[in-house]
Amino acid sequence: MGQRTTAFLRRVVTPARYLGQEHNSSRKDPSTVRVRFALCYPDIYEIGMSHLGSHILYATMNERPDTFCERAYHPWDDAVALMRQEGLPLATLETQTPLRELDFVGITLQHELNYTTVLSLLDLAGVTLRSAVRRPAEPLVIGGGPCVYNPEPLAPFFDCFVVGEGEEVIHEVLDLYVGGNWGRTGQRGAEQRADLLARLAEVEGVYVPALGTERPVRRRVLPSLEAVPPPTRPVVPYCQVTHDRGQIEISRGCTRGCRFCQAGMIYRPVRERSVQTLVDAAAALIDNTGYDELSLVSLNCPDYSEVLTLVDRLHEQLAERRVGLGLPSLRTDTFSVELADRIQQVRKTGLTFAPEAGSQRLRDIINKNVTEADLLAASEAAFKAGWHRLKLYFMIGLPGETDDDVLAIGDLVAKVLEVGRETLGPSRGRLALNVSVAVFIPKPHTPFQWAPQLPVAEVLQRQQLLRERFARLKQVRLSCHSAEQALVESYLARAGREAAELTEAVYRAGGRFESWDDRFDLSRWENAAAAAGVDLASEVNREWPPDRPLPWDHIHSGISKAYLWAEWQRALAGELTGDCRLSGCTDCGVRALGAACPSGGR
Amino acid sequence: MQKPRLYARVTYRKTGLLAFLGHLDVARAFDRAVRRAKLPVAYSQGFSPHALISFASPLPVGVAGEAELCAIELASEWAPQAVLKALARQLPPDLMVVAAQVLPRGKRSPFADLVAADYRVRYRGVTDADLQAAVEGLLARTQWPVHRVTKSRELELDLRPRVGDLRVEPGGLLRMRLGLAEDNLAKPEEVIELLSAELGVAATTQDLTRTALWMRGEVGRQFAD
Ligand code: SF4
Repeated sequence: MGQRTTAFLRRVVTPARYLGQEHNSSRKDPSTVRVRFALCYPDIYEIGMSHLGSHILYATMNERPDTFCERAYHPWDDAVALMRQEGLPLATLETQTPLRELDFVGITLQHELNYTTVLSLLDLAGVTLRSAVRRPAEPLVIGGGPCVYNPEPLAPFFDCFVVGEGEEVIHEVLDLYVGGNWGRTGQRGAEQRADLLARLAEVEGVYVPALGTERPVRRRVLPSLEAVPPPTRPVVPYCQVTHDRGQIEISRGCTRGCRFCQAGMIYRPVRERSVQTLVDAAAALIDNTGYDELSLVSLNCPDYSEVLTLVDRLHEQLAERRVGLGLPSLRTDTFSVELADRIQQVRKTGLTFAPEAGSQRLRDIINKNVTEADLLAASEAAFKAGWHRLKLYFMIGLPGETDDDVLAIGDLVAKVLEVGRETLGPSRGRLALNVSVAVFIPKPHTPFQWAPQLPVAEVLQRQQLLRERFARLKQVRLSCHSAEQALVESYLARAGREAAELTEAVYRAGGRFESWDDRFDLSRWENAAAAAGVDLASEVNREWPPDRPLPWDHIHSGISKAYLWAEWQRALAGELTGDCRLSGCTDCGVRALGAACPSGGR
Repeated sequence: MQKPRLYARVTYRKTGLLAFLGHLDVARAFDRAVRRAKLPVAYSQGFSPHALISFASPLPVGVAGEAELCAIELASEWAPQAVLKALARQLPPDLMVVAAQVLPRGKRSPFADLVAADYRVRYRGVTDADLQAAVEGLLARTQWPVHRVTKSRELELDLRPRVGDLRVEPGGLLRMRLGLAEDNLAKPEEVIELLSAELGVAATTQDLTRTALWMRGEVGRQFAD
C-alpha cells in the first residue's frame, strides 16, 4: 500500500507534492529493467524538484533501457505523521514502490544542514541507517553532490559516495551492477554485497567508507561538456516549486579564484557548451516543458566567452515563445550595459550582484577582484535598463574582518541607492534593494579551509551593526542568515567521522529540515555535543595549523593542498591572484586529474 | 471599448489522483500545455505578458470534475478539432481535454452564461433505502436554512430554490443539480450537511465529483435567470 491513496491525500496540506504523474516523468515498466534506482532529495518536493543536478541524473539514468530511475523527496511533517501512524514506508513518486525494494537509494547531498533530513529519509524508507549493520539484501545507499568532498560525517550511513561529476561515472556504476552476479535487492547474500562494494571501490571516483580512508579517491571530471547534452525533457511539476522554470547549464567551473568559494575550486577547470548546443537545447527545453522562463546556469554567466552572442541568439528563440530569460548571481565587473539591455528585452527577471565584502581591503583578502566602481557601474547599467529592484549579496565573518569592513557594506549599499535615485529620476519611488548577508563558513578544498569561523556572539554583534546602519533606509531590506545555523553548518562541513554520532543523536531528538531557519534548534546540537564530549565552537572558531590532518585528505578534488595553502597565505598578506583564464595558469593542480585544462596554461 | 475576443472553450476532466491538484496547479498545467501545443494563444500586455487562459468556477483541492471548462483566448482562428488534438497530446489522462468549441467573436466572458452544476457523491455507512428516505424527508421541507460564512460576511439563506434536483442511485450515490450563478449559488457540502440532519446516523461521504457545468438555456427555468 503506497502513500497515494485518497484517504492519505485528503489528510495532508499539499497533496500535489505526492501525486507523481508529472509531464515528462518516466513511465517505464519495472519488470523490463535490471536496475531500479531511487533518486532522492533530502528536502521537500518543492526544493528537490528545483535542483538541476537531479534532473540531469534522472535523464542520464532513464536513457538506459536497463535502468528505471524514480524520484523520492522527504515528505512534509503531516505526511510523515500519517506514514508513521499507518506504517507506510517512503515510496517512489513514479510507481509507489517502497524505496527499500529498489536496488539503489541515491541521495544528493547539497547542504550540511540537510544531514539530519538524510537520516530521516532513510529511516522513513525503512532502510537500516548504519551501513555496517545493513542487511545484505537491502538497497545500496549511495551519495553524491558537493558535500561528498568531506563525506566523513555521513560515512557510516552510506555504502558508497560518488565524488565529482556524475554523468559518466553513474554509467560505470550501473554497468558494474548489471554486469555481475551480485543479486538484486531482496535476494542478495552477504558475500555478494561485500564483493559488489569491493568492486565499486575500484571505480574511479567511488568511495566506499567501509573499506577505509587509505586509498585516495580522485574526483571525476568530464573532459568536455559537449559530450553530455543538457537535459531538455525535465519533469514539469504541478505545484509551484522554488525554481519554477527551465534551467540550462551553459558552463561548469570558474577560475576567478575567490578564496571562500568551494564551487570555484571543485568544479575546475572551466568548460563551456557551444552557443549552438545551447540555443538548440533552449528551444527544445521550452517546447518540451512549456515553461515561461528560462534560467541560464553557471557560476558566473557573464564569464561565458560569447555571452552577448548567446543571449542574442536565445532571444530569437525565446521572444516568439514569450519566454523570459534569467541570469542568476552576477559578478559586478562583468555585467555590462549591453548585457543589461539584452536581458530586459523579453521579460525582466530578478538581478543579483554579489560583491561579497564591503571594503576593498577585504575583497582583496578573499580575492574577489571587483571594485566599488565596478558595482556602481553595474548598478547604473541595471537601473538604466529599467530595473528598480536589485539583490545584493554579502558575507560577514570573513578572515581578517573588522567592524569597519562590516560598516563598509553599509556605505557601499548607500552609494548604490544614490546611483539608483539619480538614474531612475521620477520613478525612484520604486527603487528597492534587497541586501542579503550570509555568514562566512570555511569549506573543505578551499584556501579558507584552515580559517577560523567567527564566534556566534560576534556574528550577532556585526549583524546588529548592519541593522542599525540600515534602520533608516526605507528602500533597503536587510536579511541576515542565522549565526547559529552557521555554527553547525561550519562544524559539519569540516568534521570527521565522529560527527556521525552527533548527527544521528540530533535526528533522534527530532532534528530534520534544519536548513529551514524556523526548524533549526541549536540546543539539540548542544545537547548532543555535550553528551559526546564535543565542543562545537572550539572545533570551528580557531585557525587550523598546516600540519593538522584534514578529515577529507583522502578525497582528491584535484586542487592541490599546496596551492590552497599558498592561496591562504596570500590572503593573509592581502595579495591578489589573477584569473588563470586571463593571466595564465596559477598551478591549482587540476591538471593532475588528467583534465585537459582549456582555462589557460599559457 | 473592449474589442471582440476569440475564445476556444475547452471541456476537460480533473479526475483520479489529479483531483488533488489545486486550482492554481491546474492553471499552471494548462498554461504549459498550451505553450507546448503551440496554440496561437493571446497574451496580456505589460511587463510580464502571460497567456490569456481562464477557468470556470474553480474546484477545491480533492474535488474531482468530469466536465470542467477552460477558455483560451486565441490570437488567430483555429479549428476546434485542432485545438483539441494539440492539447490532448500534452495532457495526462487524468487532466484530459474531452471537447472544444471555438465561440463566435464577442465581448462577453465565455462563462457569463454559467448557471448550474451537477455533483455526485458516494455515501458510506447508510443503506440506499435510508438515504432515499432522508432525501424525501428533505424534499418535503419547504425551507432549507443554511448559515454561510464567506471571507467578507456571514449570512443566513434558504437553499431550497437553489437546488434543482436531488436523487439517489444504487450503491449509495447521491446526485444533485445546484445553482452556480453568484446570487444563486448552492454548495454541495451545504446539501450534504442538510441531509446528514435528516439521516440521523453518522454516514460518511467520499469521491465528491462535479459531473457537469450548465449554461443558461441548457437547463430548466429554475436556473434561467
Ligand atoms: S590548472 Fe592552471 S589553468 Fe587550469 S584551472 Fe588550474 S590554475 Fe587554471
